[in-house]
Amino acid sequence: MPREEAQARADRIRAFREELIALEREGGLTLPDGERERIDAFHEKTLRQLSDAFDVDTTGSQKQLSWGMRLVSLMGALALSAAVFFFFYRFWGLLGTSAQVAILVVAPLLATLLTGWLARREKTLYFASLAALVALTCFVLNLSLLGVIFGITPSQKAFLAWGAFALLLAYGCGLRLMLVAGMTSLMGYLAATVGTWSGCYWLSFGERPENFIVAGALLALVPLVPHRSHPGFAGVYRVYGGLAIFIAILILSNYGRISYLPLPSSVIEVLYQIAGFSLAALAIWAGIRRHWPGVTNLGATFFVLFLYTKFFDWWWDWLPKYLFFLLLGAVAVGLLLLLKRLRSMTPEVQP
Amino acid sequence: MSRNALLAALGLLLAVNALVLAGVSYNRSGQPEATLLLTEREAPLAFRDFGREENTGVALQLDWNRGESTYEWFDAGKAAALGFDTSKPPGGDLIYDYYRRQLPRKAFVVLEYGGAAWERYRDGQKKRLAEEEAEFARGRMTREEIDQARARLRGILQADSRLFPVDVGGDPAALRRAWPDRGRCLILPALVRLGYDWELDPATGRRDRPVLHGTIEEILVDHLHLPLPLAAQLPQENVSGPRISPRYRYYGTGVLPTPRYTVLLQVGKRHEPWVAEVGAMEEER
Repeated sequence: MPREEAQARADRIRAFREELIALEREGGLTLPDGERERIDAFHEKTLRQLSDAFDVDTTGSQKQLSWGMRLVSLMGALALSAAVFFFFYRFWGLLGTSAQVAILVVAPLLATLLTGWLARREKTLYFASLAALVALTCFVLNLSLLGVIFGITPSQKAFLAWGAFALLLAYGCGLRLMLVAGMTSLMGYLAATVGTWSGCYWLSFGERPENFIVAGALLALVPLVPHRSHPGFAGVYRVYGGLAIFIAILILSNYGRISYLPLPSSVIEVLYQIAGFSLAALAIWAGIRRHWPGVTNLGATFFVLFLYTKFFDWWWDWLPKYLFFLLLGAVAVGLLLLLKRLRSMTPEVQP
Repeated sequence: MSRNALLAALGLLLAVNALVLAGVSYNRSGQPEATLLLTEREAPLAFRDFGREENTGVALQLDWNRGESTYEWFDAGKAAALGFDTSKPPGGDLIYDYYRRQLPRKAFVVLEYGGAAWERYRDGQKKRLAEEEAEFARGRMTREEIDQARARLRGILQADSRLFPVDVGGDPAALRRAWPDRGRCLILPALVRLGYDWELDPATGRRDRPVLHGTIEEILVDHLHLPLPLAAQLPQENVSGPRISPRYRYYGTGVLPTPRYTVLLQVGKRHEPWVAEVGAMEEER
């Protein structure tokens, strides 16, 4: 069983216990003598097993603390990565080329071994996550500085190597932070490669947001491959890929000049505005239908963003500001009512 | 972490490093593609990211002369040969937008050291000063203006880079055949872009004749890292007084910087350069 499923089971047990207490207090249900004790004993045993095997949070306060620990782990990982980066820059000029190369090659190897060792010893993976980000930083530094030391022509293939490395750590240890890092690197590689198809140099890939639409779509399609060992990863792929697509469309809907399309800017902007609204509506619909809450939220957020951007274009200059914001507020209320209606049409609990 | 994933991650690290170092070894194997003896004028000390305290690495900046912003030899035909679409006749706002939207491409640029391009530029600047001196004599320029013009020429003659782009193409071997002097001409990968300007139309006397041309955005590897033994041979960075700075071309009317070292630059099979030697400057070339 993956750790995410174990945590979900523990959450369900906690919710069941709270609801049982409420039911008994309100007289909705009274369990026969001994039944309640048997259920409690069974849940205690299950929670103990889950806790021993996966170190899951079994109480509300533990869960709150876990969020704090995740945050501290992320901040620590970023700080340690910065420390590694600046440490090397501070001293590399005092070393010969062989020593520089040896350190650059060995550092990510050691950090990877440390990540593996920590991942085997710690079920919650806070320290493993921290070590993994340091390993990735060492690898980024490794390739970047070999390029500087030996004057190598820059290539987008470095993103492929970093992405593959981060994904190996993500899948090997079940680390979402590494999954996001890996997707970011792969996004860079894919967008740059798509950019080169038109003949431009890869470093210009950021100048054509359509490159990110293709890359985002490819990433969003990854969950078509079943993720049984890491069920939580599928949602991350969908949201991350969708985010890339929506941001690219949002930029193009306001700045058509940087599109590949051989059309006047104003036409391109209208086309992408239509695409943005349609895709956001589709994301809300698909998210509700397939039970992908992240996709629904993403769709709703960008639907509002597209709408507000259009309102800004149409009315900012000629409406009094109080009326402009009143209109935005009224639209938000209208959207809330619409979403509420959609919500009531969808059964939350499946028998 | 599963054993397989750990082994795969370690294997990936080793394989990528082996590939990168093999590429470096291939680039520097055999006879260099080009070998040039430059001076601080063409390879001044590069600015250090994060400052000198935080970054002890020393590098030189390969600095080519940007005195001529457009090049006659880099016309629309040459740009088209590099893959730029120049099929639409230039002129009009929409066409301007069409051409400006074309993204930069990778190409190979020939940089000639101290050759005809430099001599032409230098002579042109001398002629320009002579004209300005005549203007000054006629009272059409102030003392301050002519002093600045003289300082400008002194700076060009004493501190400016003599490395000039003279040709561009997609095939480095073809460029080498056209520019066979390996002791004077570097062929390096560069980023080029399509430019669009209005030139002077003799018929109307206005700058309203649309013209397409190529521009060089940057040389892709112009940061030359110095290994420790070579960095130790450079003059101290913290010595006071003027020194040649990358891409900085006006030194005012004060004391002009003088080049202090020579750099033996070599270029390998992959057209990636490196510094082979650094020496003290004996005399101005």
